[in-house]
Amino acid sequence: MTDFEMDPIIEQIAHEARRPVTMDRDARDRLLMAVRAEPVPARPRRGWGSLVEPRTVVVTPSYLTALAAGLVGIGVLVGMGTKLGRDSRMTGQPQVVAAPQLPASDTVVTFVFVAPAAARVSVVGDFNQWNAGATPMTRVGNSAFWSVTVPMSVGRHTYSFFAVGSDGEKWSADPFAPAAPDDGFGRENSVVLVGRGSAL
Amino acid sequence: MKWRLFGSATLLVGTLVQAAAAQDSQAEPLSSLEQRFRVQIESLIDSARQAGLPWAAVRSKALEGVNKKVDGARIVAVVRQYYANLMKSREALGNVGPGEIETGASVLTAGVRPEDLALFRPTTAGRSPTRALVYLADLISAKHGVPRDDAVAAFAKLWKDGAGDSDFDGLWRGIDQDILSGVNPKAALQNRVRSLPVRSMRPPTDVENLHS
Repeated sequence: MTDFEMDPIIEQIAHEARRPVTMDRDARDRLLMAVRAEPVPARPRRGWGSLVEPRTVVVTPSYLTALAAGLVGIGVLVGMGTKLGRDSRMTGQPQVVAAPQLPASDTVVTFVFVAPAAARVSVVGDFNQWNAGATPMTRVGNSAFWSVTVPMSVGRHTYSFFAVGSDGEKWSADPFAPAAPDDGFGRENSVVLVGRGSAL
Repeated sequence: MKWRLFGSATLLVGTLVQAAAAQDSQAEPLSSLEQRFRVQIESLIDSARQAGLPWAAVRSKALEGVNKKVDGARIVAVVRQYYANLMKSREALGNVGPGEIETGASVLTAGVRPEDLALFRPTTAGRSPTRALVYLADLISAKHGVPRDDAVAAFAKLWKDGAGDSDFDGLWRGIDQDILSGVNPKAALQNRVRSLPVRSMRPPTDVENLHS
């Protein structure tokens, strides 16, 4: 037997509480009408509206940490995805030919080109994947000479000069180097033979 | 709130993927080719790799076309021809390195016949015909205009007799100088070949190659 059952006052209160409450029917109807008269709360906006509606954002250090971690995670996943995509284009399998690594440099070669009217000149060849923007040359003082020194691996390399001037873009072979046969694209390239510590 | 988060995350991922795709296009210039041409180029690169040919050279030839803004169909035709020349070059030169195979292919492009290229097949280990072939291709080009058959015969004989890189260096410079001075290209070749010292015209042995 508990202490509550032993107390007669508490026993009386409990008895009153258990007694069914009789409610006036009109009062119940008034209550329901009042509830129905209340405006319906607006449903949260979806789609674009929810993204652009103004809101107050409370930024806490833990929120920032979580956001940074999430961004890094997404970046890693996207990076993995694009790498796999790039590699798998070769044969459709993950293990395929990767982009060739740039050869280790065995020596340096200085290219010189004469183009008095050019605004920009670059040397373009198999050593920079024929990228016209990869190896820009610099004008030597105020002269007509352009030059650049490029680290290169031993072997035979083909190249050409790419000049941009007021008359447009122009590909030119090196007049002082052996000519490579027709490139197949209607232009002539040149050859540089790189030996250990020397180049022709 | 969940929808907002989802929408924001979708936008973020979309932006990142777009940025990555743009970066990919810069890193992989072949991706600028039309799909049908790119597939053919990649197939040729893969075939070269499977065949043990210098596939990087095949890819480089395609990149050259892309960066010279040549149309895709033309690039495919050129790369296919280059691939075929690499095959012929290897057949002609035998067991040589990728550099020699590439040089041989370029000489075939210049118009030298495969059977003539085979005359430069190395018979001793470590001896490379690269320099001789580069000069040969240059001399028979339009730049110098030395008759092809004369140049091939002269260079092949020098190669067979054991001429070294320095011999071919000197020969090429001399012929180049003479032609610039107005000498007839065929005469320039004959004169300079005749003036080469006979002392070095002996194929080096494998032992000599090892010690050089």
